[in-house]
Amino acid sequence: MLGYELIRRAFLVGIFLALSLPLIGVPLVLRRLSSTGDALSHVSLSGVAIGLLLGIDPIIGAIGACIIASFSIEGIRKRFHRYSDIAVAIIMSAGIGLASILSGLVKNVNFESFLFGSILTISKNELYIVITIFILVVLFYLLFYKELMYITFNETQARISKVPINLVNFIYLIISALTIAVSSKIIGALIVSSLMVLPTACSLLFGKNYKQTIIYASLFALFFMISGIVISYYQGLKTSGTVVLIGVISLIISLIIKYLISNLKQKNLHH
Amino acid sequence: MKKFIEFSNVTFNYESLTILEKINLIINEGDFIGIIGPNGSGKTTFLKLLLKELVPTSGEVKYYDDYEIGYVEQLSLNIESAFPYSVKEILMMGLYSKIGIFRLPKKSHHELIDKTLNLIGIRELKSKRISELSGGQQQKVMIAKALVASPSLLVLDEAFSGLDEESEKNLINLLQKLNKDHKMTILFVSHHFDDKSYLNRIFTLSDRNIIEIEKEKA
Repeated sequence: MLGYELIRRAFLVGIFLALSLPLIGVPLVLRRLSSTGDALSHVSLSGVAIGLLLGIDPIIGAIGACIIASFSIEGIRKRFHRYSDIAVAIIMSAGIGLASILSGLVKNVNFESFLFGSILTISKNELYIVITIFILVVLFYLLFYKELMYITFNETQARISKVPINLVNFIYLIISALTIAVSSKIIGALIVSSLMVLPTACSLLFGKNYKQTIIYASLFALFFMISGIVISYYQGLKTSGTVVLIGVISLIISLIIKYLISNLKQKNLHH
Repeated sequence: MKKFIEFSNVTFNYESLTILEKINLIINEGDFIGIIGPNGSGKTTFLKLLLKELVPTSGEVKYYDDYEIGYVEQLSLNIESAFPYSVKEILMMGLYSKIGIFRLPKKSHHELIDKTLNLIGIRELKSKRISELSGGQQQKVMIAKALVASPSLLVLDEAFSGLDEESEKNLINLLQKLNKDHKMTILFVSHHFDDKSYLNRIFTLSDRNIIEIEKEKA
């Protein structure tokens, strides 16, 4: 199967995205913002439609929409301090509403491919964009690992320790928006957030500390992605859906393994 | 006595409600202050003003220097069973201002962590995940985190809840020692103090105000 240029490209893009998404996803989940990922990926759809209508690259449209949306979420969150989760709901509704109207105006384009992605028809440009995103995410981690980890743990404590919270949050927001926008176009808007949440959920079961949790999440995502592409290729299934379902099945198996391990430990304690 | 932090005429309103009104308070270097604040007395607001989490509606909270602050929150911190930080990682975060941005921890930082864990008596928990620990153990970890960078100001909010009597006694001894030997300024807020002997000043929060009471009468 690797003899086909498009398949090779799908693998490369899949690997880079699988490594990038959990790095964004773990802090998002730990900060109880996983629904933000969902909202942004839906907003990216309206960005795609705007891009198509204006005749610019839909990925650029998606990136723009996601960046605006992520700052709007932060803005609304600050206004409604106590009910901050409504920010996500508001932006998600706006995104879906806009996307559904705009997609009706776009002619001759299969909009479904944006919902479920099109990893098997990646252009060279898209590959380069994904590699750039991956480099940005890794660079952000190299520079601000301690800071992001601290803010994720406890924002008040981080501020007292003089962590540049606003700067780190600002960059994290932009990089998340970029990653989610690009991934939405490639693996599908409906599926992006599951690739942030499922590997994180699995790794939380086994990681002994924050660093391990991040590493395990990337490994899980890599496994979901590669096996998803291979299985979908040989079985003629839709790739993104296969990737996500492998994630869900892995989580169920992980939960069972975790349950058995802790049962065994307790039995050993009693003997 | 060297002034450390000063509240001058600090008022804080939340929407149309006045939570604290015209508070005047000077914290001096080396103070070991106890603030008795029943629930709903504006205790949390007072702490947030002190830590500059909130800005006063009027008046000023003045710091006389750029202090290293250690802050132990109430255990309502909500450490859930899934929270994946190890004790070592948490103490490393406590050393953040010592390590600095764009830098990696050095050997001396690792040694400081070991030393602090020994001091609190929780060396054996170093590689454990915080969510695996009991409430009392978690609280000790948070106290260790607050102390690891040798802060000049330590702020404790109901910090001993969940601790057994012996641990509480040991920690009070440790704090007294840090206060005496290292001139660490300590501010301890609680709704109740069983033992007030180790405090050198006592305040009560009530009716939107904070009043110093003579120690003998407390």
